[in-house]
Amino acid sequence: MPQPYQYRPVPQQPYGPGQFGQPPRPVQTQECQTTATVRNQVNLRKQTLALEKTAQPGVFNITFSFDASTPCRVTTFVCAREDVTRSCRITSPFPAAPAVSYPKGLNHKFPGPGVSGHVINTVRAPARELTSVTSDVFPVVIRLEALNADIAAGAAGTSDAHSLSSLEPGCELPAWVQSQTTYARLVKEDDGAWGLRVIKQKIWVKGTAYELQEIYGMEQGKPGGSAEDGYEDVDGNECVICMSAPRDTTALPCRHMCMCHSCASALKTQTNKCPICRNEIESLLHIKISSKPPAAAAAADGAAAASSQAPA
Amino acid sequence: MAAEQAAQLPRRIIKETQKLISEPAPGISASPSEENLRYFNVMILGPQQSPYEGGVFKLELFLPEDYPMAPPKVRFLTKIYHPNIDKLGRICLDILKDKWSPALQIRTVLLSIQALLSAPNPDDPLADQIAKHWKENEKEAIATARQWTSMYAQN
Repeated sequence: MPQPYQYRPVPQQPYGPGQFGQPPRPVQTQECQTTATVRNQVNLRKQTLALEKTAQPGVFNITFSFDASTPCRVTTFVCAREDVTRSCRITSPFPAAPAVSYPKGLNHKFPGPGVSGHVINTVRAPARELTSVTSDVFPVVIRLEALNADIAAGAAGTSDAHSLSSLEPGCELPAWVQSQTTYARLVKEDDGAWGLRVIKQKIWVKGTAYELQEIYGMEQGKPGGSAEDGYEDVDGNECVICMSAPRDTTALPCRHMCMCHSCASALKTQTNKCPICRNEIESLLHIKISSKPPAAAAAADGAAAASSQAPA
Repeated sequence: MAAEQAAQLPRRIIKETQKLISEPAPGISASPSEENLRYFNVMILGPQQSPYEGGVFKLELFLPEDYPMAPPKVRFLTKIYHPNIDKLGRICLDILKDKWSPALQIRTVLLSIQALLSAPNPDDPLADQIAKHWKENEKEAIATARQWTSMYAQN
């Protein structure tokens, strides 16, 4: 059974004369794997994360949009410490506002009408703690929690049935909870106003935490790669090698999705270098993207190669 | 004849050719030969503020059978005084050798060659005498390059 890809950082390679004279070696052992799908039941749309002024000066609401394929709840924390040795338990000197429950649905807006208290008080908390990560304290942590659909289906109607409402905000995550946690920090925008930036996102699935990693070149629906992502002159989502078939294969560990399956297979008999960054390819990941409605594409945006976090 | 050839040509080469003709890069023209659609006649204008300014340089570019897994073969046909181009017109450019990547294209290769004309690199020479000249007396070497440009690249 395929496993989620275990991500390791790419070692920085010097680009220069030091690399000359080494012919690329063919890679015989490299296989093309197929992804194991981890269904991301809840996904915060990173681009939507923002601050909203409240009536009180220096106090801002945390706002964002998210998708949920099952009922879920949202909790937020400010200046929070996460303990990976204790099932990602979150503690904060500031008391957490009550969790907000949502039915399943796409493009939920947080906070909904009548919800308050999920705020950042820039007067009360020291600016340094809000703008940078210091010794495992994250300025802002947002956790979306749902019942793990597989486990909930098995437990339905039995005495094992679980309920999110029994959990305190930020408590140790049980295996029957599936969650996505977004870590963010405050930044000063060019106009002097405060903004929120995502640092990273993690998902918790059946007792394991995975960090979400973006796959480069996967953007759906955008008319073609632009110079900014390095695929200039290539129309649409086409393989950079044949310029015909759609890109569906990612080089790992660099995460450049730039090839179609058949060109990737041809490439690996010739070289072990990624066509985009020339880093060594350790494996190839074939990602089947179904041409489903935009909602599925949005979920795929959040689902990326994941890295498991070993407890410290 | 050409149509028969085109039918066997990989789609990528057809696409690249079409785009080179419909949206040429500034100062670069490339068109395939009628006899062989993998052979391109190329012209690069000498970049401004370089000793090659005002010159029109002819090159040949050939896409080998295993292109784009293997790089195109490119050679200057016009004589040029440049430390990274030898008297046979061969070019010392990393992306044409070990730094080739199949994500590069005819267009990006020609743009790199154009950039090489703006930025000669005598520390990685192909033409040893020219490189030596460049390092020992750059001003004089540039004057020679200018002279060659007017002698061989303008007509």
